[in-house]
Amino acid sequence: MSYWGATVITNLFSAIPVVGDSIVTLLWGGFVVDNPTLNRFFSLHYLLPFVILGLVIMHIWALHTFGSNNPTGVDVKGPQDTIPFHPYFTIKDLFGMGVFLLIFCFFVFFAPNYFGEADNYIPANALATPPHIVPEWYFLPSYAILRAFTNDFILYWPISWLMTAKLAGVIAMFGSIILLALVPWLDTSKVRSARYRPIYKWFFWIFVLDWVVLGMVGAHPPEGIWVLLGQISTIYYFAHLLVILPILGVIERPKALPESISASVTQPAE
Amino acid sequence: MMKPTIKTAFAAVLTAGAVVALSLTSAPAHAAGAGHKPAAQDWSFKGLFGTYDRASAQRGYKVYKEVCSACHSMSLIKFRNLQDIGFSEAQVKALAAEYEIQDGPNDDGDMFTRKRTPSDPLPAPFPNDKAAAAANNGKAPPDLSLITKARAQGGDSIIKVSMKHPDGFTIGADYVYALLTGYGEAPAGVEVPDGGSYNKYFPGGVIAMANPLAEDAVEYSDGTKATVAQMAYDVSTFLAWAAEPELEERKRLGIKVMLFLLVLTGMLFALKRKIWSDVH
Repeated sequence: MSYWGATVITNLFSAIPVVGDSIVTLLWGGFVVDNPTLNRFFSLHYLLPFVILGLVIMHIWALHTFGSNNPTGVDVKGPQDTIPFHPYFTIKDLFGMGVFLLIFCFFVFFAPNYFGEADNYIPANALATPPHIVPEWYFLPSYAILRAFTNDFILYWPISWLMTAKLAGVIAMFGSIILLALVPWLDTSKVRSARYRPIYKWFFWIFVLDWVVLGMVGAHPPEGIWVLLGQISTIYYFAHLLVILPILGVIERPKALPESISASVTQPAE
Repeated sequence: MMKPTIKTAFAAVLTAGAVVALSLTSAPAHAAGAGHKPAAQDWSFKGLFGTYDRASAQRGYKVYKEVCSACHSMSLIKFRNLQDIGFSEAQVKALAAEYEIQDGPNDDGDMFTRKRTPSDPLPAPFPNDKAAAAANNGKAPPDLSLITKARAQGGDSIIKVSMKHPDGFTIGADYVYALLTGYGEAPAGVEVPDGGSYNKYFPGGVIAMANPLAEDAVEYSDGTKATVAQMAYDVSTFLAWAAEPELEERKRLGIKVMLFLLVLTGMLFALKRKIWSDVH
Protein backbone atom coordinates (compact mmCIF):
# COMPACT_ATOMS: atom_id res chain seq x y z
CA MET A 1 0.00 0.00 0.00
CA SER A 2 2.83 2.40 0.81
CA TYR A 3 4.32 1.59 -2.58
CA TRP A 4 1.08 2.63 -4.25
CA GLY A 5 0.75 5.61 -1.93
CA ALA A 6 4.18 6.76 -3.13
CA THR A 7 3.11 6.17 -6.72
CA VAL A 8 -0.05 8.26 -6.32
CA ILE A 9 1.64 11.12 -4.46
CA THR A 10 4.61 11.44 -6.82
CA ASN A 11 2.26 11.17 -9.79
CA LEU A 12 0.52 14.34 -8.58
CA PHE A 13 3.37 16.25 -10.15
CA SER A 14 2.60 14.76 -13.55
CA ALA A 15 -0.51 16.99 -13.54
CA ILE A 16 1.72 20.02 -14.13
CA PRO A 17 1.52 20.89 -17.84
CA VAL A 18 4.56 20.43 -20.11
CA VAL A 19 7.25 19.66 -17.49
CA GLY A 20 5.14 17.37 -15.25
CA ASP A 21 6.32 14.03 -16.60
CA SER A 22 9.98 15.06 -16.46
CA ILE A 23 9.58 16.15 -12.84
CA VAL A 24 8.07 12.78 -11.94
CA THR A 25 10.93 10.92 -13.64
CA LEU A 26 13.36 13.12 -11.73
CA LEU A 27 11.60 12.40 -8.41
CA TRP A 28 11.51 8.67 -9.05
CA GLY A 29 15.10 8.49 -10.25
CA GLY A 30 13.76 6.20 -12.98
CA PHE A 31 10.56 5.33 -14.77
CA VAL A 32 8.77 3.62 -11.88
CA VAL A 33 8.87 3.91 -8.08
CA ASP A 34 12.01 1.93 -7.26
CA ASN A 35 15.04 1.84 -4.97
CA PRO A 36 16.30 5.33 -5.97
CA THR A 37 12.86 6.72 -5.04
CA LEU A 38 13.05 5.02 -1.66
CA ASN A 39 16.52 6.45 -1.12
CA ARG A 40 15.26 9.96 -1.90
CA PHE A 41 12.29 9.58 0.43
CA PHE A 42 14.60 8.44 3.22
CA SER A 43 16.87 11.46 2.69
CA LEU A 44 13.89 13.80 2.73
CA HIS A 45 12.44 12.32 5.91
CA TYR A 46 15.84 12.42 7.58
CA LEU A 47 15.96 16.13 6.77
CA LEU A 48 12.47 16.92 8.06
CA PRO A 49 13.29 16.76 11.82
CA PHE A 50 15.90 19.48 11.25
CA VAL A 51 13.32 21.59 9.42
CA ILE A 52 11.02 21.11 12.40
CA LEU A 53 13.85 22.13 14.73
CA GLY A 54 14.23 25.37 12.75
CA LEU A 55 10.50 26.00 13.03
CA VAL A 56 10.62 25.37 16.79
CA ILE A 57 13.32 28.04 17.12
CA MET A 58 11.20 30.44 15.04
CA HIS A 59 8.21 29.64 17.23
CA ILE A 60 10.10 30.46 20.43
CA TRP A 61 11.45 33.65 18.89
CA ALA A 62 7.96 34.76 17.80
CA LEU A 63 6.55 33.92 21.23
CA HIS A 64 9.18 36.04 22.96
CA THR A 65 8.90 38.93 20.53
CA PHE A 66 5.15 39.20 20.01
CA GLY A 67 3.71 37.28 22.96
CA SER A 68 0.89 34.75 22.69
CA ASN A 69 -2.76 34.97 21.75
CA ASN A 70 -5.49 34.06 24.23
CA PRO A 71 -9.01 32.58 24.10
CA THR A 72 -10.71 35.98 24.42
CA GLY A 73 -8.79 37.56 21.55
CA VAL A 74 -8.35 40.72 23.63
CA ASP A 75 -4.88 42.25 23.92
CA VAL A 76 -3.01 42.18 27.21
CA LYS A 77 -3.70 45.42 29.10
CA GLY A 78 -1.54 45.04 32.18
CA PRO A 79 0.19 42.67 34.60
CA GLN A 80 -3.16 41.49 36.06
CA ASP A 81 -3.86 39.85 32.65
CA THR A 82 -0.91 37.48 32.59
CA ILE A 83 0.65 34.67 34.59
CA PRO A 84 4.20 33.32 34.26
CA PHE A 85 4.87 30.33 31.93
CA HIS A 86 6.51 28.44 34.76
CA PRO A 87 5.07 26.84 36.83
CA TYR A 88 1.58 27.40 35.42
CA PHE A 89 1.95 26.24 31.84
CA THR A 90 4.78 23.80 32.40
CA ILE A 91 2.60 21.75 34.73
CA LYS A 92 -0.46 22.11 32.52
CA ASP A 93 1.53 20.89 29.51
CA LEU A 94 3.04 18.03 31.51
CA PHE A 95 -0.45 16.87 32.44
CA GLY A 96 -1.54 17.18 28.82
CA MET A 97 1.47 15.13 27.79
CA GLY A 98 0.49 12.44 30.30
CA VAL A 99 -2.98 12.19 28.75
CA PHE A 100 -1.50 12.04 25.28
CA LEU A 101 0.98 9.31 26.26
CA LEU A 102 -1.83 7.22 27.74
CA ILE A 103 -3.69 7.28 24.42
CA PHE A 104 -0.51 6.84 22.39
CA CYS A 105 0.82 3.92 24.44
CA PHE A 106 -2.55 2.18 24.31
CA PHE A 107 -2.22 2.01 20.55
CA VAL A 108 1.48 1.11 20.66
CA PHE A 109 0.99 -1.84 22.99
CA PHE A 110 -2.53 -3.07 22.35
CA ALA A 111 -3.51 -2.08 18.82
CA PRO A 112 -0.32 -1.47 16.85
CA ASN A 113 -1.92 -2.43 13.54
CA TYR A 114 -5.09 -0.41 14.07
CA PHE A 115 -4.26 2.52 11.80
CA GLY A 116 -2.22 0.45 9.36
CA GLU A 117 -3.37 -1.14 6.15
CA ALA A 118 -3.24 -4.92 5.91
CA ASP A 119 -1.89 -4.51 2.37
CA ASN A 120 1.34 -3.03 3.78
CA TYR A 121 2.39 -6.56 4.77
CA ILE A 122 2.25 -7.76 1.16
CA PRO A 123 5.58 -7.26 -0.64
CA ALA A 124 5.43 -4.40 -3.17
CA ASN A 125 4.62 -5.61 -6.65
CA ALA A 126 4.47 -3.18 -9.56
CA LEU A 127 2.25 -5.60 -11.49
CA ALA A 128 -0.46 -6.03 -8.83
CA THR A 129 -2.44 -2.93 -7.91
CA PRO A 130 -4.51 -3.20 -4.72
CA PRO A 131 -8.27 -2.97 -5.41
CA HIS A 132 -8.58 0.19 -3.34
CA ILE A 133 -5.70 2.59 -2.63
CA VAL A 134 -6.10 4.76 0.46
CA PRO A 135 -3.59 7.08 2.16
CA GLU A 136 -2.93 7.29 5.90
CA TRP A 137 -6.03 8.42 7.81
CA TYR A 138 -4.86 12.00 8.41
CA PHE A 139 -4.58 12.56 4.63
CA LEU A 140 -8.11 11.29 3.94
CA PRO A 141 -9.90 14.70 3.85
CA SER A 142 -7.30 16.05 1.38
CA TYR A 143 -7.56 12.85 -0.63
CA ALA A 144 -11.34 13.29 -0.84
CA ILE A 145 -10.87 16.85 -2.20
CA LEU A 146 -8.39 15.56 -4.77
CA ARG A 147 -10.82 12.91 -5.97
CA ALA A 148 -13.84 15.22 -5.96
CA PHE A 149 -12.60 16.82 -9.17
CA THR A 150 -14.11 14.70 -11.90
CA ASN A 151 -14.87 15.87 -15.43
CA ASP A 152 -18.50 16.60 -14.53
CA PHE A 153 -17.82 18.31 -11.18
CA ILE A 154 -19.56 21.70 -11.05
CA LEU A 155 -16.51 23.50 -9.62
CA TYR A 156 -14.48 22.18 -12.56
CA TRP A 157 -16.77 23.53 -15.29
CA PRO A 158 -15.58 27.15 -15.19
CA ILE A 159 -11.94 26.11 -15.51
CA SER A 160 -12.34 23.08 -17.76
CA TRP A 161 -11.08 25.02 -20.82
CA LEU A 162 -7.88 25.82 -18.95
CA MET A 163 -6.71 22.56 -17.37
CA THR A 164 -7.43 18.88 -16.88
CA ALA A 165 -9.59 17.74 -13.98
CA LYS A 166 -6.50 16.01 -12.54
CA LEU A 167 -4.57 19.29 -12.34
CA ALA A 168 -7.62 21.07 -10.91
CA GLY A 169 -7.87 18.41 -8.20
CA VAL A 170 -4.19 18.73 -7.32
CA ILE A 171 -4.44 22.52 -7.12
CA ALA A 172 -7.62 22.28 -5.03
CA MET A 173 -5.97 19.81 -2.63
CA PHE A 174 -2.93 21.99 -2.02
CA GLY A 175 -5.13 25.10 -2.09
CA SER A 176 -7.34 23.67 0.66
CA ILE A 177 -4.32 23.63 2.97
CA ILE A 178 -2.82 26.96 1.86
CA LEU A 179 -6.20 28.66 2.43
CA LEU A 180 -5.99 27.76 6.12
CA ALA A 181 -2.84 29.86 6.38
CA LEU A 182 -4.69 32.77 4.75
CA VAL A 183 -7.57 32.74 7.26
CA PRO A 184 -6.32 35.93 9.07
CA TRP A 185 -7.00 37.83 5.82
CA LEU A 186 -10.12 35.90 4.80
CA ASP A 187 -11.77 36.54 8.16
CA THR A 188 -13.07 40.11 8.00
CA SER A 189 -14.47 40.18 11.53
CA LYS A 190 -13.01 42.74 13.94
CA VAL A 191 -13.56 40.28 16.81
CA ARG A 192 -10.78 37.74 17.10
CA SER A 193 -12.46 35.17 19.33
CA ALA A 194 -15.40 33.02 18.26
CA ARG A 195 -16.57 33.21 21.87
CA TYR A 196 -18.21 36.55 21.07
CA ARG A 197 -19.48 35.59 17.60
CA PRO A 198 -22.82 33.73 17.97
CA ILE A 199 -23.36 32.87 14.27
CA TYR A 200 -19.76 32.02 13.46
CA LYS A 201 -19.79 29.47 16.27
CA TRP A 202 -22.29 27.41 14.33
CA PHE A 203 -20.41 27.69 11.08
CA PHE A 204 -17.23 26.61 12.84
CA TRP A 205 -18.82 23.35 13.94
CA ILE A 206 -20.38 22.77 10.51
CA PHE A 207 -16.90 23.21 9.05
CA VAL A 208 -15.50 20.63 11.48
CA LEU A 209 -18.33 18.25 10.52
CA ASP A 210 -17.59 18.87 6.84
CA TRP A 211 -13.98 17.94 7.43
CA VAL A 212 -15.05 14.68 9.12
CA VAL A 213 -17.35 13.85 6.22
CA LEU A 214 -14.49 14.49 3.79
CA GLY A 215 -12.37 12.07 5.81
CA MET A 216 -15.04 9.37 5.57
CA VAL A 217 -15.40 9.97 1.83
CA GLY A 218 -11.63 9.61 1.46
CA ALA A 219 -11.74 6.19 3.11
CA HIS A 220 -14.39 4.77 0.79
CA PRO A 221 -14.01 3.74 -2.86
CA PRO A 222 -15.22 6.53 -5.17
CA GLU A 223 -18.51 4.98 -6.16
CA GLY A 224 -22.21 5.50 -5.49
CA ILE A 225 -23.24 8.08 -2.93
CA TRP A 226 -19.63 8.77 -1.87
CA VAL A 227 -18.80 10.63 -5.08
CA LEU A 228 -21.68 13.09 -4.66
CA LEU A 229 -21.07 13.43 -0.91
CA GLY A 230 -17.40 14.17 -1.54
CA GLN A 231 -18.22 16.82 -4.12
CA ILE A 232 -20.79 18.53 -1.90
CA SER A 233 -18.40 18.60 1.07
CA THR A 234 -15.60 19.87 -1.18
CA ILE A 235 -17.82 22.73 -2.37
CA TYR A 236 -18.73 23.50 1.24
CA TYR A 237 -15.08 23.41 2.33
CA PHE A 238 -14.16 26.14 -0.13
CA ALA A 239 -17.44 28.02 0.40
CA HIS A 240 -16.70 28.23 4.11
CA LEU A 241 -13.24 29.68 3.64
CA LEU A 242 -13.84 31.85 0.57
CA VAL A 243 -17.47 32.97 0.93
CA ILE A 244 -18.89 32.47 4.43
CA LEU A 245 -15.85 33.68 6.35
CA PRO A 246 -15.45 37.06 4.57
CA ILE A 247 -19.20 37.82 4.42
CA LEU A 248 -20.02 36.68 7.94
CA GLY A 249 -17.42 39.05 9.42
CA VAL A 250 -19.28 41.97 7.86
CA ILE A 251 -22.90 41.05 8.54
CA GLU A 252 -22.58 39.44 11.98
CA ARG A 253 -23.19 41.51 15.12
CA PRO A 254 -20.74 40.24 17.72
CA LYS A 255 -21.41 40.32 21.46
CA ALA A 256 -19.72 42.98 23.58
CA LEU A 257 -16.06 42.26 24.25
CA PRO A 258 -14.79 42.17 27.84
CA GLU A 259 -12.68 45.13 28.93
CA SER A 260 -9.65 42.97 29.55
CA ILE A 261 -8.58 39.34 29.84
CA SER A 262 -8.86 39.40 33.64
CA ALA A 263 -12.34 40.94 33.38
CA SER A 264 -13.45 38.04 31.16
CA VAL A 265 -12.39 35.61 33.87
CA THR A 266 -14.05 37.45 36.75
CA GLN A 267 -17.24 38.28 34.78
CA PRO A 268 -17.97 35.50 32.27
CA ALA A 269 -19.47 36.58 28.95
CA GLU A 270 -22.65 34.51 29.19
CA MET B 1 -23.62 26.11 25.29
CA MET B 2 -20.11 25.20 24.27
CA LYS B 3 -17.63 27.99 23.87
CA PRO B 4 -15.42 27.51 20.80
CA THR B 5 -12.27 28.62 22.54
CA ILE B 6 -8.88 27.30 21.63
CA LYS B 7 -9.49 24.49 24.08
CA THR B 8 -12.76 23.36 22.51
CA ALA B 9 -11.37 23.87 19.04
CA PHE B 10 -8.53 21.56 19.98
CA ALA B 11 -11.01 19.07 21.38
CA ALA B 12 -12.97 19.36 18.15
CA VAL B 13 -9.93 18.53 16.06
CA LEU B 14 -9.20 15.56 18.33
CA THR B 15 -12.75 14.24 18.11
CA ALA B 16 -12.86 14.83 14.39
CA GLY B 17 -9.60 12.94 14.02
CA ALA B 18 -10.96 10.11 16.13
CA VAL B 19 -14.15 9.90 14.09
CA VAL B 20 -12.21 9.82 10.83
CA ALA B 21 -9.90 7.21 12.29
CA LEU B 22 -12.79 5.01 13.39
CA SER B 23 -14.64 5.39 10.13
CA LEU B 24 -11.49 4.25 8.37
CA THR B 25 -11.91 0.76 9.72
CA SER B 26 -15.35 0.51 8.20
CA ALA B 27 -13.77 0.97 4.79
CA PRO B 28 -14.04 -2.36 3.00
CA ALA B 29 -10.43 -3.33 2.42
CA HIS B 30 -11.45 -6.35 0.42
CA ALA B 31 -14.56 -5.00 -1.21
CA ALA B 32 -14.19 -7.50 -4.05
CA GLY B 33 -15.13 -10.43 -1.83
CA ALA B 34 -18.47 -8.92 -0.88
CA GLY B 35 -21.06 -11.06 0.80
CA HIS B 36 -19.13 -13.29 3.17
CA LYS B 37 -17.46 -11.73 6.19
CA PRO B 38 -15.28 -14.13 8.15
CA ALA B 39 -16.84 -14.84 11.55
CA ALA B 40 -14.80 -13.83 14.59
CA GLN B 41 -13.26 -16.84 16.35
CA ASP B 42 -12.42 -17.14 20.00
CA TRP B 43 -8.63 -16.83 19.79
CA SER B 44 -6.41 -17.48 22.79
CA PHE B 45 -4.36 -14.36 21.96
CA LYS B 46 -7.29 -11.93 22.06
CA GLY B 47 -7.68 -9.27 24.72
CA LEU B 48 -5.47 -7.38 27.15
CA PHE B 49 -3.85 -10.48 28.61
CA GLY B 50 -4.13 -12.86 25.65
CA THR B 51 -1.27 -15.27 24.98
CA TYR B 52 -0.78 -17.89 22.28
CA ASP B 53 -2.10 -21.32 23.17
CA ARG B 54 1.21 -23.23 23.02
CA ALA B 55 -0.31 -26.65 22.36
CA SER B 56 -2.48 -25.28 19.56
CA ALA B 57 0.43 -23.39 17.96
CA GLN B 58 2.60 -26.54 18.09
CA ARG B 59 -0.16 -28.56 16.45
CA GLY B 60 -0.42 -25.71 13.95
CA TYR B 61 3.25 -26.07 13.11
CA LYS B 62 2.64 -29.74 12.36
CA VAL B 63 -0.22 -28.80 10.02
CA TYR B 64 1.97 -26.21 8.30
CA LYS B 65 4.84 -28.67 8.00
CA GLU B 66 2.80 -31.55 6.65
CA VAL B 67 0.24 -29.68 4.54
CA CYS B 68 0.91 -26.00 3.80
CA SER B 69 4.65 -26.23 3.33
CA ALA B 70 4.15 -28.33 0.21
CA CYS B 71 3.53 -25.04 -1.61
CA HIS B 72 3.98 -22.13 0.81
CA SER B 73 7.26 -20.82 2.20
CA MET B 74 7.70 -19.04 5.54
CA SER B 75 10.94 -17.29 4.77
CA LEU B 76 10.99 -14.95 7.79
CA ILE B 77 10.80 -17.72 10.39
CA LYS B 78 13.93 -19.43 11.69
CA PHE B 79 13.80 -22.77 13.46
CA ARG B 80 15.06 -21.21 16.70
CA ASN B 81 11.95 -18.96 16.71
CA LEU B 82 9.89 -22.11 17.33
CA GLN B 83 11.12 -22.07 20.94
CA ASP B 84 8.67 -19.16 21.39
CA ILE B 85 5.72 -21.53 21.06
CA GLY B 86 7.03 -23.96 23.61
CA PHE B 87 9.33 -26.34 21.73
CA SER B 88 12.44 -27.15 23.78
CA GLU B 89 15.90 -26.43 22.44
CA ALA B 90 16.48 -30.12 21.78
CA GLN B 91 13.14 -30.45 19.98
CA VAL B 92 14.00 -27.45 17.78
CA LYS B 93 17.38 -29.01 16.92
CA ALA B 94 15.65 -32.22 15.96
CA LEU B 95 13.02 -30.39 13.88
CA ALA B 96 15.73 -28.45 12.05
CA ALA B 97 17.86 -31.51 11.39
CA GLU B 98 15.00 -33.07 9.41
CA TYR B 99 15.94 -30.77 6.51
CA GLU B 100 19.09 -30.06 4.59
CA ILE B 101 20.40 -26.77 3.26
CA GLN B 102 23.09 -25.83 0.78
CA ASP B 103 26.06 -24.12 2.41
CA GLY B 104 29.53 -23.13 1.40
CA PRO B 105 31.79 -22.57 -0.31
CA ASN B 106 34.17 -24.71 1.76
CA ASP B 107 37.99 -24.42 1.65
CA ASP B 108 38.06 -26.21 -1.71
CA GLY B 109 35.55 -23.72 -3.15
CA ASP B 110 32.77 -26.30 -3.38
CA MET B 111 29.17 -25.90 -2.23
CA PHE B 112 27.95 -28.67 0.04
CA THR B 113 24.75 -29.64 1.77
CA ARG B 114 24.44 -30.03 5.51
CA LYS B 115 21.64 -30.55 8.03
CA ARG B 116 19.76 -27.42 9.08
CA THR B 117 20.51 -25.92 12.48
CA PRO B 118 18.19 -23.76 14.67
CA SER B 119 19.60 -20.60 13.04
CA ASP B 120 18.46 -21.66 9.56
CA PRO B 121 15.12 -20.59 8.08
CA LEU B 122 12.25 -22.99 7.53
CA PRO B 123 12.79 -24.72 4.17
CA ALA B 124 11.04 -23.24 1.14
CA PRO B 125 9.18 -25.66 -1.16
CA PHE B 126 10.53 -24.02 -4.32
CA PRO B 127 14.02 -22.69 -5.10
CA ASN B 128 12.63 -19.33 -6.29
CA ASP B 129 9.43 -17.47 -7.19
CA LYS B 130 9.63 -18.41 -10.87
CA ALA B 131 9.78 -22.11 -10.04
CA ALA B 132 6.88 -21.67 -7.61
CA ALA B 133 4.84 -19.88 -10.26
CA ALA B 134 5.68 -22.44 -12.93
CA ALA B 135 4.44 -25.25 -10.70
CA ASN B 136 1.24 -23.44 -9.74
CA ASN B 137 -0.54 -22.24 -12.88
CA GLY B 138 1.68 -19.18 -13.21
CA LYS B 139 1.24 -17.56 -9.79
CA ALA B 140 3.55 -18.23 -6.87
CA PRO B 141 1.73 -19.18 -3.62
CA PRO B 142 2.21 -16.31 -1.14
CA ASP B 143 4.76 -16.55 1.66
CA LEU B 144 2.95 -17.23 4.93
CA SER B 145 5.29 -15.44 7.38
CA LEU B 146 3.04 -12.38 7.72
CA ILE B 147 -0.17 -13.71 6.23
CA THR B 148 -2.49 -12.96 9.18
CA LYS B 149 -1.33 -9.34 9.22
CA ALA B 150 -1.65 -9.04 5.45
CA ARG B 151 -5.25 -10.24 5.10
CA ALA B 152 -8.73 -8.99 6.08
CA GLN B 153 -8.48 -6.43 8.86
CA GLY B 154 -4.83 -7.18 9.58
CA GLY B 155 -3.08 -8.06 12.81
CA ASP B 156 -4.29 -8.32 16.36
CA SER B 157 -5.93 -5.16 17.68
CA ILE B 158 -7.90 -4.89 20.88
CA ILE B 159 -10.19 -2.30 19.33
CA LYS B 160 -10.99 -4.42 16.30
CA VAL B 161 -11.67 -7.62 18.19
CA SER B 162 -13.76 -5.93 20.89
CA MET B 163 -15.97 -3.74 18.72
CA LYS B 164 -19.13 -5.32 17.37
CA HIS B 165 -19.35 -3.65 14.01
CA PRO B 166 -22.31 -4.61 11.81
CA ASP B 167 -19.86 -5.89 9.20
CA GLY B 168 -18.18 -8.05 11.83
CA PHE B 169 -14.72 -6.69 12.55
CA THR B 170 -12.28 -9.51 12.24
CA ILE B 171 -8.54 -9.91 12.25
CA GLY B 172 -6.37 -11.75 9.75
CA ALA B 173 -6.44 -14.99 11.73
CA ASP B 174 -10.24 -15.08 11.41
CA TYR B 175 -9.88 -14.75 7.66
CA VAL B 176 -7.30 -17.55 7.41
CA TYR B 177 -9.55 -19.80 9.49
CA ALA B 178 -12.62 -18.90 7.41
CA LEU B 179 -10.72 -19.49 4.16
CA LEU B 180 -9.47 -22.92 5.23
CA THR B 181 -12.97 -24.02 6.25
CA GLY B 182 -14.82 -22.16 3.47
CA TYR B 183 -14.45 -24.62 0.58
CA GLY B 184 -17.58 -25.99 -0.90
CA GLU B 185 -19.74 -26.51 -3.95
CA ALA B 186 -20.00 -23.45 -6.16
CA PRO B 187 -23.52 -21.96 -6.15
CA ALA B 188 -25.40 -21.82 -9.44
CA GLY B 189 -24.09 -19.09 -11.71
CA VAL B 190 -20.51 -19.16 -10.49
CA GLU B 191 -18.19 -20.70 -13.04
CA VAL B 192 -15.10 -22.32 -11.59
CA PRO B 193 -12.32 -22.62 -14.18
CA ASP B 194 -9.96 -25.61 -14.40
CA GLY B 195 -7.43 -25.68 -11.56
CA GLY B 196 -9.59 -23.45 -9.39
CA SER B 197 -11.82 -24.15 -6.43
CA TYR B 198 -14.84 -22.38 -5.03
CA ASN B 199 -14.29 -20.67 -1.68
CA LYS B 200 -16.90 -18.24 -0.45
CA TYR B 201 -14.44 -16.25 1.64
CA PHE B 202 -11.94 -15.61 -1.13
CA PRO B 203 -12.43 -12.30 -2.97
CA GLY B 204 -14.19 -13.23 -6.19
CA GLY B 205 -15.09 -16.68 -4.93
CA VAL B 206 -12.63 -18.68 -7.01
CA ILE B 207 -9.28 -19.59 -5.47
CA ALA B 208 -6.35 -21.32 -7.15
CA MET B 209 -5.50 -23.27 -4.00
CA ALA B 210 -7.23 -26.65 -3.86
CA ASN B 211 -8.88 -27.51 -0.55
CA PRO B 212 -5.80 -28.34 1.52
CA LEU B 213 -7.42 -29.90 4.58
CA ALA B 214 -9.28 -33.17 4.84
CA GLU B 215 -10.36 -35.06 7.93
CA ASP B 216 -7.27 -36.60 9.61
CA ALA B 217 -4.85 -35.00 7.13
CA VAL B 218 -2.31 -34.94 9.93
CA GLU B 219 -1.95 -37.14 12.98
CA TYR B 220 -1.63 -35.06 16.15
CA SER B 221 0.85 -36.48 18.62
CA ASP B 222 -1.20 -35.27 21.62
CA GLY B 223 -4.23 -37.28 20.55
CA THR B 224 -6.39 -34.29 19.53
CA LYS B 225 -8.92 -35.29 16.88
CA ALA B 226 -7.72 -33.79 13.57
CA THR B 227 -10.98 -32.36 12.24
CA VAL B 228 -10.81 -29.75 9.48
CA ALA B 229 -11.98 -27.05 11.91
CA GLN B 230 -9.41 -28.10 14.51
CA MET B 231 -6.55 -28.07 12.00
CA ALA B 232 -7.67 -24.72 10.57
CA TYR B 233 -7.84 -23.27 14.07
CA ASP B 234 -4.42 -24.63 15.04
CA VAL B 235 -2.64 -23.51 11.90
CA SER B 236 -4.25 -20.06 12.15
CA THR B 237 -2.92 -19.75 15.70
CA PHE B 238 0.52 -20.79 14.45
CA LEU B 239 0.42 -18.29 11.59
CA ALA B 240 -0.82 -15.52 13.90
CA TRP B 241 2.18 -16.22 16.15
CA ALA B 242 4.51 -16.18 13.14
CA ALA B 243 3.16 -12.78 12.04
CA GLU B 244 3.23 -11.26 15.52
CA PRO B 245 5.73 -13.10 17.72
CA GLU B 246 6.11 -9.93 19.80
CA LEU B 247 2.42 -9.92 20.80
CA GLU B 248 2.81 -11.47 24.26
CA GLU B 249 5.74 -9.28 25.22
CA ARG B 250 4.13 -6.05 24.08
CA LYS B 251 0.95 -6.80 25.98
CA ARG B 252 2.89 -7.69 29.14
CA LEU B 253 4.96 -4.50 28.92
CA GLY B 254 1.91 -2.48 27.91
CA ILE B 255 0.06 -3.27 31.15
CA LYS B 256 3.00 -1.98 33.19
CA VAL B 257 3.41 1.13 31.05
CA MET B 258 -0.30 1.98 31.22
CA LEU B 259 -0.39 1.54 35.01
CA PHE B 260 2.68 3.75 35.41
CA LEU B 261 1.26 6.43 33.12
CA LEU B 262 -2.11 6.38 34.92
CA VAL B 263 -0.41 7.05 38.27
CA LEU B 264 1.91 9.67 36.77
CA THR B 265 -0.90 11.49 34.96
CA GLY B 266 -3.05 11.40 38.10
CA MET B 267 -0.23 12.96 40.12
CA LEU B 268 0.41 15.58 37.45
CA PHE B 269 -3.30 16.43 37.47
CA ALA B 270 -3.29 16.88 41.26
CA LEU B 271 -0.21 19.08 41.00
CA LYS B 272 -1.79 21.12 38.20
CA ARG B 273 -4.87 21.79 40.32
CA LYS B 274 -2.72 22.73 43.30
CA ILE B 275 -0.55 25.15 41.34
CA TRP B 276 -3.46 26.75 39.49
CA SER B 277 -5.65 27.04 42.60
CA ASP B 278 -4.53 30.60 43.35
CA VAL B 279 -5.27 31.85 39.79
CA HIS B 280 -8.79 30.45 39.44
